[in-house]
Amino acid sequence: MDKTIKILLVDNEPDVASMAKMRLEADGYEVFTASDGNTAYDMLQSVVPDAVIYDVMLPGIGGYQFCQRIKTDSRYRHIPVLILTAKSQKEDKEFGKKAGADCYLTKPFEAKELLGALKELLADK
Amino acid sequence: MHRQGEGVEEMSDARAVLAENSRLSQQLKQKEFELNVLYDIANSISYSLSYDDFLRIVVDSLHKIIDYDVCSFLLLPEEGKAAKMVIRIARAVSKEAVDEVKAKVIDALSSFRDRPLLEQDIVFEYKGEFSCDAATAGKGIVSSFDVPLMVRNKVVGLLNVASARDIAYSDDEMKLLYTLASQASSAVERLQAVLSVEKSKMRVMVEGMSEGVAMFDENERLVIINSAFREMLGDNLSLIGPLEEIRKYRDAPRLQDIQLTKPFPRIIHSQSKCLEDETGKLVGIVVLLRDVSREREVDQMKSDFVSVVSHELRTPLAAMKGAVDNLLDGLCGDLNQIQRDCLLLTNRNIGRLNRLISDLLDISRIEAGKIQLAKQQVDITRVINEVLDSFQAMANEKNILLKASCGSDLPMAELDPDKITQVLTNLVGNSLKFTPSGGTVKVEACRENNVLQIDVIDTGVGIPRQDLEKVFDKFYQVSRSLGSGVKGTGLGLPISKSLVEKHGGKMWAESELGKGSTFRVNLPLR
Repeated sequence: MDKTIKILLVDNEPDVASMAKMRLEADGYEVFTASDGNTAYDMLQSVVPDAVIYDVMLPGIGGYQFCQRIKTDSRYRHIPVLILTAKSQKEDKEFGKKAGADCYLTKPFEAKELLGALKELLADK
Repeated sequence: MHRQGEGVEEMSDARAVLAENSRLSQQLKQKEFELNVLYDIANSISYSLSYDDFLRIVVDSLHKIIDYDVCSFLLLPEEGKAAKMVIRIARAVSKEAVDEVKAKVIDALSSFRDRPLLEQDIVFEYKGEFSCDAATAGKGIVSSFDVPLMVRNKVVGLLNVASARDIAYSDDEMKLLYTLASQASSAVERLQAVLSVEKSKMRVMVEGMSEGVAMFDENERLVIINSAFREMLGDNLSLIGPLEEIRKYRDAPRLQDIQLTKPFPRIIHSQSKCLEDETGKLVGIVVLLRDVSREREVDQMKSDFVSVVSHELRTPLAAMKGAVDNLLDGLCGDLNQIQRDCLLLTNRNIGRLNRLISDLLDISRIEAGKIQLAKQQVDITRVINEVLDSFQAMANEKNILLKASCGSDLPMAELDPDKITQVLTNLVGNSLKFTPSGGTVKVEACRENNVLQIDVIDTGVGIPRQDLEKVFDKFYQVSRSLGSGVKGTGLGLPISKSLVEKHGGKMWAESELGKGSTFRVNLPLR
């Protein structure tokens, strides 16, 4: 089997993060976590993840800025970004797309939704 | 017996009396006529607005009473206006005669000014033309008299009546002219007094307004400005934008938010409108300013609040769902049946809470006026079919027939597809919930003039008449739902109704208890 796929999961809600981590690890991914945007950005360099999943209401670099920064950084722009959010309005989805997110999921989400979206994003690579 | 001579004398006496009576009667008629003309003139004067209009009326009517060749008036220049001379030529006169009149009048008035009045500074208006006939050639003015025009004891002009014939103007005629001139003058005085009072009333009113008000005339000169305006924009009138820009907005005002940082940050909302008279001519521009800083702040807080609430409520749900799903999918080991049932119950209620949160947020957004419709051209038939497809599995389970009946000529409608889908999903879902096995749920769509009519018809338990309007109240729940259907939030119908109304449409219910219900939606097509 290829090297394990590394996921950087960024969410400042520990409960949400721990349950998502459990699910992703059960599906065979290696999961690294961070609870704020700045730490997460630094980890991009040390971990070099294959995908980033993060919550839009992050402290530090929050909102869609985190996504924009990744996508405008030549070192990381190739990494697919999946945004999680509790906001569900259509405008929020459009906004997410404009910031360069590759995918957008609303909390609370079904486990298969997350896994399915992730598979798709990684397959495109 | 009388002598011949006496009879003749008597006869001539009688004739003299008759002649005298005739003359008096003639004079009376003349007086009556003059009074009528005066009365008519007075009436027309009171409705004119400017002094020169008054005088034109006088000059035009004068020939009915006074015999003249040339009648004219000259008004001295006043603020913004040039000196004006109107010359009316009633009978054939030479050019020299007309020039003589002009010179005399200008000369007479020059003595009332510190600077002489020059012909090139005067705007002339002629009614009639001088004659080039040999008959009139060389004949100058022979009789003439002037009437000074005074307003509030100041000389503002001169009225002149002149003739190339030798006419002796009688006392009566001259008196008449003076009367006319003074009538015109007092009318002007009265009008100016009224205008002055109205102007100061308006100034006081405008000054007392908390909104900033500024008005410009058709030449873009500032006419009125109140202290509220000055306080808001200071002398930075340029902030409201160039006046030519505003001129383009004839039917509706131009709205604009202006951000200020000095003396302290705030947001001023400006509304600029063109003012037109009855003929549609631009007479001015008015600009209203309102400090909306607080309004915008509250608006922003409302938006932020909804976002924050959404996040705060959904985050714990996400955590709980993550944990329950992990357990149910065996990630933490095998489960026995009881454990599984408890977890399934938890999942159901997580779902219920989630739907409730969504609906509450919807209602809260609707009531805060924060719903925005993303309208597009929508094929309603397709939307209806999509919604019915999504319920097909549930309908099959309950053995209920789902049908769609849409007119083949239905036009595309300008609607928000997501919101309309939400409404139809709510209505069809409700119908399925309240219809027993073996029943039917039908969606019909047709066009009636400029209205798109959509009906969701079921053969369910129906709604009691007294509840037909109440079903649209928040949290109203009828306890008659059948089977173990998913419990509703009680907010679906009020949300649907609001969304329909936001489109400019209407929604209501009709029903027969025990037979079924029809939920009807009207949507405007234009």
